[in-house]
Amino acid sequence: MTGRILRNLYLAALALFIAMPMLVIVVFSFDANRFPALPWGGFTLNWHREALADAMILSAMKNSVIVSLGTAVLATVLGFSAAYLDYRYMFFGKRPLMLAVAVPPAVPVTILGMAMLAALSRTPMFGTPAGIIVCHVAIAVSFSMALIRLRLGELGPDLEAAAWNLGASPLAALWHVVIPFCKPSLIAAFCLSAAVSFDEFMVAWFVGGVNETLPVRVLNLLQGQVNPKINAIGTLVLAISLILVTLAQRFARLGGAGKETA
Amino acid sequence: MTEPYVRLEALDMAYPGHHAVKSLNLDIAAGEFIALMGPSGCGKSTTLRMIAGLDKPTGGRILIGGRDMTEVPAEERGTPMVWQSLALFPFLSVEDNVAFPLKMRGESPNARRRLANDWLDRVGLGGMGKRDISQLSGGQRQRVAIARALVTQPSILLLDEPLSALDAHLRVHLQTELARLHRELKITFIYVTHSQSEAFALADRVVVMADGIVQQAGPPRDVYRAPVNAFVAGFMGMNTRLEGTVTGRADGMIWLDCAEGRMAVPDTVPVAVGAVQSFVIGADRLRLLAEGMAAPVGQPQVSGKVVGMEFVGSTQTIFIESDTGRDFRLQRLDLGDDATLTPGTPVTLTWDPRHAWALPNT
Repeated sequence: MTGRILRNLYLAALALFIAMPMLVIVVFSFDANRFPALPWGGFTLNWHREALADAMILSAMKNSVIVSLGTAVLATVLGFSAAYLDYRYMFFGKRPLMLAVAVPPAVPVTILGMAMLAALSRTPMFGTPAGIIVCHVAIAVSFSMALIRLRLGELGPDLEAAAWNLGASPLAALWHVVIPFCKPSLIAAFCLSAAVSFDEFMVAWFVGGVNETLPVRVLNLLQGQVNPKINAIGTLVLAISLILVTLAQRFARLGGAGKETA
Repeated sequence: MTEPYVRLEALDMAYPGHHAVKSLNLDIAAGEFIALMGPSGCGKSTTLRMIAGLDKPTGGRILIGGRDMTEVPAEERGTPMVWQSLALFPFLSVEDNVAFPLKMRGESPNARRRLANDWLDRVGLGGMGKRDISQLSGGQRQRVAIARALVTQPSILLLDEPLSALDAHLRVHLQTELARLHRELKITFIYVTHSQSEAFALADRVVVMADGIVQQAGPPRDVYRAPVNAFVAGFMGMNTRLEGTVTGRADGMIWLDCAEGRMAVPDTVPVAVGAVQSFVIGADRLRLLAEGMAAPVGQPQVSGKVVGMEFVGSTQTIFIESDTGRDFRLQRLDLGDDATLTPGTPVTLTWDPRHAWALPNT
């Protein structure tokens, strides 16, 4: 009994420790004081209102949404393709290819950002949302592929063959059997890719040019002055990320526990 | 034989390092219920998968209904299969699982629903169409898999160990149902199993395979009573095998000198005097002599001792080692006298020589 109380206390302390920095932002975004300081100056929605009225913030938000949705769609499609390629086929150069897909998140983002800048600056995509999307896809696809590949591992050797056996062409089997089977992991990959892109600062800062995403706007705001609007944006970004990651986890688990493949 | 419906011609399947099927020839008549049986790895499942077009043979031809199917892709063959794993689609309802092949054919949603439910009724799952696969019991899933395979009214049905995942009671039940379906549909069933009882109960003809080669094909009784070689004899449970030197032939019998004495077997093989000939005796043909009794005139008499006993419900199997060191396996109705047959007990065996079977020398 005491053991359980101690354990729960420990878990609560751990959660608080992890969440504390974020909580600080959320709490002060509703603080009436102009400069975050204790004691709390009373509840206000002013900073949120101001943030949402700021044209640059709104345009950054628009960019962020476009970039993260674009990234999510592309990373999910490419992630599925790579995962299916890995699952179904043996071919020359498969290992290096899979390594290339897996490696970007392991590279320090500064280096990744510089590399992407160097690559993109020679193309007309440089400084456009499309350019940011391309770079974000390169990062997100490795997460998305990993999630989908796990689910494909549960497909079993017979399900796809059974579809062929029952009159489905390979393409029809992919569409009517493999993709529905992977659906939970596809949704999870979509949400996670969107979250990865929505939160990403370094690469967006390197290749975005004048097209700021929300994290980039936050840094630029910070460099100017301490602005309470930052806390408000922070809260917003936090909320969106939390929702995306929670959804991703939920669907990934749905896939993982899997209804029986009977 | 009339024109075969399925013809396998010199079918060959070689994987790197494993020759699964070796130049297999087999004709299957329309409407025949044929069972491919043999130990795991004998090539029976590979043969079935090649008929379905799921594995591409490395040699030979497959003809179905007179058409060369060797290069035809699986989805165009019309050879639905019931899988050992069932391979039901977990994300589809029961009804949509059964309707899947109809959907692939481009049938209208109404026709799909009607036909799928007709078949669900037929396999005793009426009214369960809207359920999830995960809500069904093992036996019910099996029926869904059967309905899904038959819904397109194929002229051939492939079954790959369809009952091996079920418990004994359900297995017998579904076995009866498969037999009924075969009677009603009059289509060709090709059934892969390692179970002798399933194969014998269901099939018009059994094909015993080992090492990728057909060892023997024929009606169950023939294969059981007249195995063509030691492998088939052993696979059929005729583990008692003796051999001796041929001393002569008379009255339709071959006479042999064995370590166990002078023996006779029906003269069914060409063999010369002085040659070594082996023969088998079915476990159910062996008898124990009561103590002090002599064998009937003309019947051999072999003494040995009990080495073990297996109780299998209504029958019992007794393992006996002869004084000459040979293993005998005797099967009989359970007489409730196990206590007198403890290991080490001396016993005397006999059999009617007409029930012995000389193995052809190949």
